[in-house]
Amino acid sequence: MDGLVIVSPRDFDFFREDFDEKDGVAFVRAPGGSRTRSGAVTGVHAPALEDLRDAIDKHRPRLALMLSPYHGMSADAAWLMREGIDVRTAGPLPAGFRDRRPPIAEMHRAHPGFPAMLEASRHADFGDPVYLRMVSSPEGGKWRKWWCIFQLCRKAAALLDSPLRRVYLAASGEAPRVHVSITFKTNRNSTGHLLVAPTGSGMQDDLFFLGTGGTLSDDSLLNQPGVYGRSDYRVLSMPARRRLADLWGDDATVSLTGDELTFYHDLLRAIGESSGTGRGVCLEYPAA
Amino acid sequence: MADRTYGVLLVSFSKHSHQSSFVPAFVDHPRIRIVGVADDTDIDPYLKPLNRSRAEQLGVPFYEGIAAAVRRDEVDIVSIGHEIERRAEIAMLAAGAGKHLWIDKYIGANMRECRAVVDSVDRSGVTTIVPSYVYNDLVNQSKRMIDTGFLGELTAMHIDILFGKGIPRPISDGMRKPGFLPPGQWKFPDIKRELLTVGAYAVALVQQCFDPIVEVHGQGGAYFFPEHAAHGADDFGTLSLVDRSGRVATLSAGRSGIASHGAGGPNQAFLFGTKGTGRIDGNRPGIDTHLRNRIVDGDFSVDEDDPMQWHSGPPTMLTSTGLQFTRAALDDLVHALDTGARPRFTVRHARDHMEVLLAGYESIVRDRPVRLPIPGGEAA
Repeated sequence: MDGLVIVSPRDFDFFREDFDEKDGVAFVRAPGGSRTRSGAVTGVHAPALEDLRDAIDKHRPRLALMLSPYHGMSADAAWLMREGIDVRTAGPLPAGFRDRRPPIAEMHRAHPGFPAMLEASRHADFGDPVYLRMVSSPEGGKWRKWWCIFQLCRKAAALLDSPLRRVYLAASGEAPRVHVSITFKTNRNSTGHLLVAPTGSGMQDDLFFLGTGGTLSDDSLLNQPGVYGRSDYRVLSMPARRRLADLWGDDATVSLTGDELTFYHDLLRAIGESSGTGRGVCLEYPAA
Repeated sequence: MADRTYGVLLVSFSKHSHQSSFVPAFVDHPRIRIVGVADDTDIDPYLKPLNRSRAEQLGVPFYEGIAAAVRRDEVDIVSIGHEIERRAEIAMLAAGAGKHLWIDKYIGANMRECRAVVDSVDRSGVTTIVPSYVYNDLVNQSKRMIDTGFLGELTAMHIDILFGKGIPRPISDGMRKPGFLPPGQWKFPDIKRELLTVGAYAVALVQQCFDPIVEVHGQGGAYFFPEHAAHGADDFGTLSLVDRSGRVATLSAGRSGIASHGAGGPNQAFLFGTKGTGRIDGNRPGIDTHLRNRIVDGDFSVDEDDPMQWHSGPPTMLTSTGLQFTRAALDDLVHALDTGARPRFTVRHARDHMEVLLAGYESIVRDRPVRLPIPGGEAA
């Protein structure tokens, strides 16, 4: 067995087509959303998280990819590494993690539209990047939203070709329905907003990218077919078509420096602080 | 009383105002009659002949000197389209004469002026309307979506409003004026401050949906146009606003250059609620117009007399079929004058609106969030 993927049903749906075609990969169902993005319960057999050890004994995977965060994940990650399994996560582990931290898979690499967006934004016609806005709507609580923010930050830095410099975080609402707004500036003076919706929905990384030469947008509404009903309009979710292979290679992972890790842990704390006080929190991204 | 016609005096056709775009609605409205054009005696050289020619086109007298003109018996409403720095004084003059006020976008250049206008209006009891912000489809559709309850409780918003006008050009480091120009200087011959000019629409939408704003964080410093970079003034910016209930709104606004968007610039809002996320395109309803000749022969050149396209626009591929906001605002004003009701956006809203914008500028200058209310009240 090549790999074992620990993933919530919602996140599984992003990779469903890839799983259907892929041999040598098994998955274990993590908590966090009992229904898929399309509204149907996943039809693929998957043991629950309680059976993780059985799944490891059965498949003996070379690599374990933890795509969805859940309570107790740090202990599972540490145990998997002790078992000699190459562990990757889709976001940072919490501050209390004592072992060597596993590398983090850069999730935007699995988005099918990302290479085209990157290519278009690096073309001379786009000019200099001025502003990037992304909206995402993950299911789940604060940790899920934190990972979503992490992934949006990484994707923003990749598209803007510059690390973030200054961040202002403002959060509203009560857990688990917290909205998080990140306002950032980069070393190149580009600015942006990264927005995480309070509730899960079919909208994934709706993106608006403004350069001095024009605009690029990945409009999640226009990019999905819809059905006119008697009195309403319903979006038919398109298969997300994300590819596991894009997360498998070593070049798809990143290891955060200690300062970077501290920054992301501070971001997590800032979500609670801001939603509790009704004030924004300013943070500096560590210099390279 | 219900059939009474109201006389409107147009005060100035400054190129920094929308007076020209208000005129068709004034002319078409059955209860409104334009009774004159007036301006100061000491004005920019280009403006005097422009005011005169507008008056001639409309077949009404042109008055040099505003004070006497607003007192004329046939004047019921004063439409103020003067420079931002003159609006407060003219508004107070007209309110003092018992005339109702139709004011283009800003009632003053700073908080001291804005507060003075509100005090003057309170004393005089006249009716006021600032028509440009809340009668459009983006605001109407947003409020309608919130009212349906589909979103649950509204917790956050995001708005992108950009004008696809002007021609951005490369900017070298040497062309950039260091730092960011503080608020207070608004008038330039070649540029407008675009957070003020364009961001104002987004701030007004937030005002309509949220409680009073208590914290503002702004960002600027990324440029499209060498003209703005040379002044260290915004052609683009972002704001983050937190309201009294802790709700968060973010917005991007500015002038992003010609042909950067099929509809002439995005005009959209995301509404985040506890039950779902709503999305509204304020450019719609509209008709997509992909007409070959218009695209192939499309004239994207920019008039050298109007390089930032303050009074023109590029060809677009969307023909709006939405609401004519000026007519809707005028209907609201006439209804208010007939019944004593209050228009949807008055000088009080405009005062609070300006405070948010000024706080955004202060935040950019200070590089930190600014809490409201702003103490003091001169420039900010």
